[in-house]
Formats: sequence, C-alpha cells, structure tokens
Amino acid sequence: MAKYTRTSERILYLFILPALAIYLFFYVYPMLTGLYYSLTSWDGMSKQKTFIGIKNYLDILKDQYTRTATVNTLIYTVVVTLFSNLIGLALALMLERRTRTNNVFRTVFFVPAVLSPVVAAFIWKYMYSPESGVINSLLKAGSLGALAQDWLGDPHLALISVMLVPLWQWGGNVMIVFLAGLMNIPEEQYESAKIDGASYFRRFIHVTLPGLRPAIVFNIIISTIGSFKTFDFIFILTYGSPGFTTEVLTLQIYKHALYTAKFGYGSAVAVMLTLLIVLFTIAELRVLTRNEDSYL
Amino acid sequence: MVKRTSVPLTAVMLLFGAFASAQNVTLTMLDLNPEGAPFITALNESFMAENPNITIEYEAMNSRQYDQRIQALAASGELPDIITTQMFPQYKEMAANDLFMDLTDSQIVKSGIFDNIAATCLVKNGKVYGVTWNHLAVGAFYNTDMFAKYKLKVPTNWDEFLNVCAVLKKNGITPIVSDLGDGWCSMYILNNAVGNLIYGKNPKYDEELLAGKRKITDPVWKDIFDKIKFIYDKGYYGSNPMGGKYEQSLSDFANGKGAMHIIGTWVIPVFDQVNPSLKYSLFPVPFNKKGDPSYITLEGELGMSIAATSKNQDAALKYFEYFFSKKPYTAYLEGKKGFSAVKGINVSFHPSVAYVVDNYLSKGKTTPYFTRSWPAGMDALLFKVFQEVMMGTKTTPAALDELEKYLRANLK
Amino acid sequence: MRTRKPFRRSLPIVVLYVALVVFAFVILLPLLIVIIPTFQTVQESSQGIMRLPKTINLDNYIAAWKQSKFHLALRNSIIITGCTILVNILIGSIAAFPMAIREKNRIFKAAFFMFLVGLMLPFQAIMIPLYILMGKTLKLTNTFIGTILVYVAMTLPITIFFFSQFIKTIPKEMEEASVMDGCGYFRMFYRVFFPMMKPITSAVIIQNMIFLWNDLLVPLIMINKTALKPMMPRVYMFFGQYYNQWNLAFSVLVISAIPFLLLFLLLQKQFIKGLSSGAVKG
Repeated sequence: MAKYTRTSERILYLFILPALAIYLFFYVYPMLTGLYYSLTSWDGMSKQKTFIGIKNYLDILKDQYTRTATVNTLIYTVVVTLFSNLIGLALALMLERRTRTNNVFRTVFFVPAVLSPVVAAFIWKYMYSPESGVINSLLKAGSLGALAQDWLGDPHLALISVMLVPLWQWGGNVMIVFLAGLMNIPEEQYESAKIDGASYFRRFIHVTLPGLRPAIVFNIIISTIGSFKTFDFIFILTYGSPGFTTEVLTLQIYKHALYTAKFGYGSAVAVMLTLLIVLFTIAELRVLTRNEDSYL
Repeated sequence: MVKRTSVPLTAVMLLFGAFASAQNVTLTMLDLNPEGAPFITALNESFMAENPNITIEYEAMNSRQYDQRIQALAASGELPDIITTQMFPQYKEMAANDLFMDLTDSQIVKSGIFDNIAATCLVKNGKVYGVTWNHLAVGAFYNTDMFAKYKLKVPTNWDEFLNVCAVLKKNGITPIVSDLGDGWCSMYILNNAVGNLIYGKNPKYDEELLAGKRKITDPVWKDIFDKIKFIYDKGYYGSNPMGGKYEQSLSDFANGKGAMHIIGTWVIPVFDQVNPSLKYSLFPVPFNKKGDPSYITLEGELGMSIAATSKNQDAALKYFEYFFSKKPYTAYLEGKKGFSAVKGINVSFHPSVAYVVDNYLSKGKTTPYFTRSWPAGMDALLFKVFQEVMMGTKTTPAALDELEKYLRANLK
Repeated sequence: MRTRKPFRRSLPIVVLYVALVVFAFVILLPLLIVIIPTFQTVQESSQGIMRLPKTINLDNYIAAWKQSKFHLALRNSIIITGCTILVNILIGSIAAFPMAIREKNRIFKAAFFMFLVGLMLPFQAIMIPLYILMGKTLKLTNTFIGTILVYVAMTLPITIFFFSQFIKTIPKEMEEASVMDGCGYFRMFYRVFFPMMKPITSAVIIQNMIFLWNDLLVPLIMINKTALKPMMPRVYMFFGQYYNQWNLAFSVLVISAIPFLLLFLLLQKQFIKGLSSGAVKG
C-alpha cells in the first residue's frame, strides 16, 4: 500500500471547508445568537437586552403552559413516529413487487408528501368541519351519522385529529424509504430461510426486519425530528385549541416571540426543545443500533 | 492633484446629494389588511400624483405573515416608515418601547379631528403614537328574514336575548353560528358583555383595574362567563360549538346556516360576496338587565404609526394629513366599509349598520375593547381559558384566577 | 429484479388489494377537495359544495395565473430551488467525502455531529437572529444570493447525511486502488467517487426539493418584493386577511404541484434506487 504523505491527507480538510463555512456563518451563528437571547429578558423589540443568566430556564420549570405543551409534543411525536412507520412498513411490504399496479399505488401514496404542510393543513381543516366538512357529510350519507364527531372541537379528539394529518402526508415518504430498504435484502437470505422451512412470519422476523434495520433507523430518526418540529399543522388546524389540548412547543415559541413580549423566554423554550430532540435522537440511535458501528 | 481638489468637490457632491435626496423621498408602508389594499392603493396613487417627489412603496399581506414580518423588522430596528396597527396589545408594547414616533405634537393630532375612540387608540403614558383609519363595531349580526319569520324583534336586554335564542332553537335553527373553535373569536361576545356590564356603569374601570382596586376575580367577571356558558350549554351555539372555526362561520352565516353571528363589522364585504342576496342587520348583544341601557362596542379597527427610526417622518406626516382629508378619506371609508374616525366625516356604508348608527353611534353609547390596558399575552391566555370554561374542563373561578395572576405578574 | 413472491396466491391477496384501494381512496379524497373548488366560483367554493363539476372551465386557473403573476413566481422558485440544490450537491458531496472515509478522525467526527445538530433545530429558534444577520448586518434580504445561502446552510445537514451514508457503502478498495494509481484526494473524489454517486444524487434532489419548493418561512423574512417571491409564498398571499379565496388559491396550488409531480414521476425510479444504495444500506 502506498504511503500517504501528510500534505496530501491535509487536503481533505479543505474539502469540508466551503460547506462548513456557509453552515457556520448562516446557521450556527444565528443558533448561538438565539442561545444568547435565551439568557436575556429581551422582549423582542427594545434596544436593550438585559442578561439574566438561566432565569428563563428556571421559569420554564414553573410554567404550567410550557409543561402542557411539552407533554402534547411528546405524545404527538411518539404517536406519529410509531404509526407512520407501521403504516409505511405495511404499505412497503404490500407493494414490494414491481408491477404496474403497485407502481400506481406507490405514487398515489406518495403524492401527499409533495404538498406543502400548510396546504395539507388547510385541506384537513376544511374536511374536519363538523357541519359542512366532507368527513361528517360522508359519514351521514353512509348512514354512519352516529360516528360523526366534532373532530377539532372535542377536547378529547382534537389532538388525535391533528395527528392524522402528518400520517396522511408522511406515510408515503416512510413507505418509499422502506421500499428502498427492502430492495437491499438479498434474495439468497429468503431462499435459505425457505429451505430451512421457515414460515412467512418467521422469515419476516429473522430476515426482513434485520435487513431493514438501516431503513428503520433512518425513518424513525427523521420522523422523530420532524414531529418534534411540527408547527404548520397545529398552527393552521387548531392554533393550540381547544383550550391547551393541542398546544405544542413550537407554537409556544412562536407566541412568545410575537405576542407576549417575552422573546428571551421563548428562545429558552426553543433551546429546551432542541435539547429534547437531541436527547431523543441519541437515545433512539443507542437503542436501534446496538450491535453496529454507530456515531455514538 | 486628485487629493487637493477632491475635498471641495466631495463637499459639493454631498450638498447636492443631500439636496437631491430631500427632494425625492420613498416611503415604505406595510399593511396587514389585503382586503383593503385596493382602496389604500388608490389613495396612495392620488397622493403620489399630488406629491410627485414622494413615492410610496406599499405592500399588504395577511395578518399572520404581517405579525412575523413586523416582529422581525422590529427586532432588527428596521421598521418600515409607515406601519399598520390593530387594537391588540403587541402594538401598545411597541409604542411603549418607543418604536413608534410620538405624534402628540404633530399637526394632525393637535388639530383634534379624531373622535374620542380614535384619539385614545394608541396612547401610552399620555403620548399619542398612532392614528386610526376607521372603526369597527362589534355585535350580533342577524338574518332579518329568519327573525321576521318567527316574529322576533331586536332584543334590548338579556332576558329578551335568551328568549330569541330559545325560539330559534325550538324551530330547528341554530341561534348563533359558532366561531369559538378559534380562540380569538371569543373577543367579540366578551366585548359586548364587558361593554354592557362594566364599562357602561364605570368608564374609569381600566384605571381601577390596573391600580388593583378592581380584579378579574370580581363577581362581575364571573357573571359574564356564567352568562355565556349558559347559552353555550343550552346549545344556542349549535351542537358542535368548539368545532366552529372563523372562516367557515362566515360562510355558514352567509349561507343561512344560523340566525346570528357575533363578530365585527369588517366581515360585511365577506357576507356580501358569499351571498349577495343575504338580508342582515346588527345589534349589540344585550347583556344588560331590563331597564339598564345597552352599549355597542366601537373600537379602532386599523390604524397607522410612523417608525421612530424613519428618516422620512415629514413625508409620512404629509401622507397622514392627506389620508384624512375629506375626499380621500370618504373614498376609503366607502370602499373599506368602516366607521369614520374623524369628527364631521360620516359615511353610511351599508344598510346593515343603520340600526346601530342611529341608536348607538350617534348617541355616543359606545364602549371600546376591554383589552386596551392589558399586558401583552394576557388576551392569548384569556382565549384559552375561555375555551376551557366553555368545555367544562376548567371552572370559571380557576380561569379568572389565572388571568388575575397573569395580570399582576406582567403589569409594568 | 425481485422474483420472490412474499405472499402465496390465495384469498389474502384479494383482501389485500381491496384494502389498498380503500386506503388509496382515503389518501386521494383530500386531494379531490383541492381540485374540485378550482372549477367553482367563489360563492360555491366558500359553501364547500363538493359536487363534481359539470363543465371543466379553466377560468380560475387563468385568473390565478395572471393575478399571482405566476410565471414570475415560478421563475423565482426554479432559480432559488435549482441553485440551492446545485450548490448543495457540489459542496455537500465533497464535504461528505472525508467525513465518510475518515470516520474516526476527531475533526471530521465533530464536523459531522455539528451538521447533524442542524437537522434538529426548529426554525423558530433561529428565525429572528437570521433575519438580523441577513437583513441588518449583511443587507442580503431581497436577493437571490442571500436566500440561496440561507437555504444551502439549512439543507446541508440532510444532504451531507445522505452523501456520507452512501459513500460509506463504497468499498475501501476503491480508495486504495485510486491511491495506487497515484491519485490525489481531489482527483479521487471527482474522477472516481462522484460519478458513482448518481443514484444518491436523485434522492438528495427530491428530498431537498420537497422542502425548498414548499417552504414559506424563509421567504417571509428574506423576500418582501413581490416580484422576487417564490411560488408558495405567492400562493399563500391569496389567503387573505378575512377569508380565503379557495377557488383561486387551490388553482394556483394545482398549477404549482404539476411541475413537481412530473419531476417526481421521472425521478421516482432513481430516487428509490438511490435510497436503497445509500441512505438505507446496512
């Protein structure tokens, strides 16, 4: 093997430079500024920003509204991640074969992912309307009127109704990734399992699932991060209503930035949310990539 | 040599530049009301025709985007020359932070052309920070055909109002179209309530509240919440009140899906566009007892201020003076369908408001928004706890207690 | 091509396809909600009448195109999205290269982690500081270049993630062979590795395009000149203050979704192939 001189190796550091430069300047620097604001009592408009240390963070612990928002955010993230992955996996398994029909189905299920979340939210808000919305109209037309609900107005249902929207939109995305993952599982593994007399179910557990591990990791991480950051759906569908039942952290951050004159406090909530995401992601990676080369 | 002659030359150029720029001014103007944009644009164009050295760069966007934009601009200290405002607490905050120019000594304010509501819209520490474009009135729009069908008259006290609702419900009509699913819509019925039960008797209520003499936990607030909860629980807001959203509620009322809609007069163009044949009128929800007078809520709808950092304040003031002169202002009011903020200029812009103009506005029986003195963020909390009380997930005393605590903790 | 049949031919297959059809209907129903109002008048669309239109008239589409100056908005979106993705591919791939082949290197590991954290940041956290930086300090608002720089910074994390995952699947022998041939790293990258990355590049393009094409927040703080506004903010402008002109807004939406859908149909094959060969390979 040829010996690398240290200078030729050094050029690799140059490779990351342009990306790093842009990223540091236009992303990390604002990030750090945001962090700085979280340590002040800035109201978002006055010229002075008074440094108050970690007081905002201590206030978060006492704030019942932030607590509620955190609980809602966690519920939302867990449910949406879990179900979007289950649905995506089911769809991928069903549509694995490369037939024309399956291709059509795949495109159909992916189309919602192409839309803007704002548009998706408006459509569903329209559909959820208790009197004139499509969902209740269809139920009534199909003699299932008793099932008609106040989807976004019932405090027990509102969060669930909101959670259906990302499932509708992202299910296809998750499915595509699983399809890609399924393509990677070598035929031979199935063959040898069949030869060993394994049933479909056993083949699934011992061949498919392990083979899908990278896809599962990818999907779960992306779903988790996306769910924590969810904003547009809630903003358009309910704005946190009814009461605080659909209030999430991103909405809180938004409200503090614009309406409560507590920008510094809102920034602290944003930092807290980021930390939550980081912790969750690390935990998921630890659990899911136990016996593998991972980053952590 | 370049160096020796460049100094006087630079000086001449600077002077010339300063002179030239004094001549040509560009005013940036941001508006949160796209529906009114055509009328403002027309007004701007005639202004620019009369003042060729002033150009107005005008942009309108919906209020969601506007709020974010203005916040970003305020945070970086770069507000546009002219900023549109609404009667919400964040603008008072901006005024308190000296983001707006103090207009107290300006010609337009000193001339006293504004009526009492407008003159007190954006006032902080005795100084005036903005002017008002037009007023809105808040009350219950009602479908006159439906009322006529069931021989219902305009109610003038709470018992009559309850009776109207009961008759409608008995006949299978949703008495009030609900928009309560959007928290901020509770403002309107609450405004009528506070106007009738608090301000009517005590115009100085706000001062007493801030001083601690009055509290949100006082019985009168519980009475207000209880009354509204009563009609909510009776089903007068329909069978799915919390599912009623703002935009849908407008269409629903216009399409005859309910007899009344408690909201403000800005929606008139929407009703007409959705259903041009709709016949409707307006009355304030009469929370008062029989025999007591009733009031309607009249408040500034939109207004404008000048940025404190603006370099073109003189030009902006000129624009203000033009805006409120007779011809442009009348045209604006007719187009926008709003009540005049200027004494002496009155435009009857729609048949539906004739009743309240004759019986309330012309007699001065109006009250402003009750959130004028509230600290930032308190109205947002009100909207939430109001929903919780209506749904039954929180008791009224607990809700009022939260509000009172927030008020005292955030008073500056 | 897969030839294995995951299910034995039997009744379950029929049930399966019925379920798929029902599910497809559920997925498509909301999309119908978008399309039907585009053939209605404002009155009809506000009443929510969901009846299939008797005549297909394109009045709304034409009006929406004109009123929104759609050709300008489309042009802006193409420029911004196209340039962002191009820059991303160029500098993202080359940055991912050392992070992938020298995983254990402390500096590359730290850089990689720093990029990953960017994925986890909610936009609200940096919106205002970003505006102050771009608007006040650098005066780059209302410019394409400013918007592109912001977008590049925001999408580099996912791009680098995709690229590095893919590069890691390329056998070490590739690297060693190039060194044998006397290649410096730069040559190795663009002569050997980059051409191999076609599959993952489609995945990067689609993934980023979905985000960039639909994004509203960045243009909100970066662009306020209407002539420069990209497509989605333009569409959103129809959502007025007091009521939404559904018929027009949805028309613009449908028009805006078409180029994207076409692109997706074209790249679908590559997209899945790309994902399977990199991002989700073990």
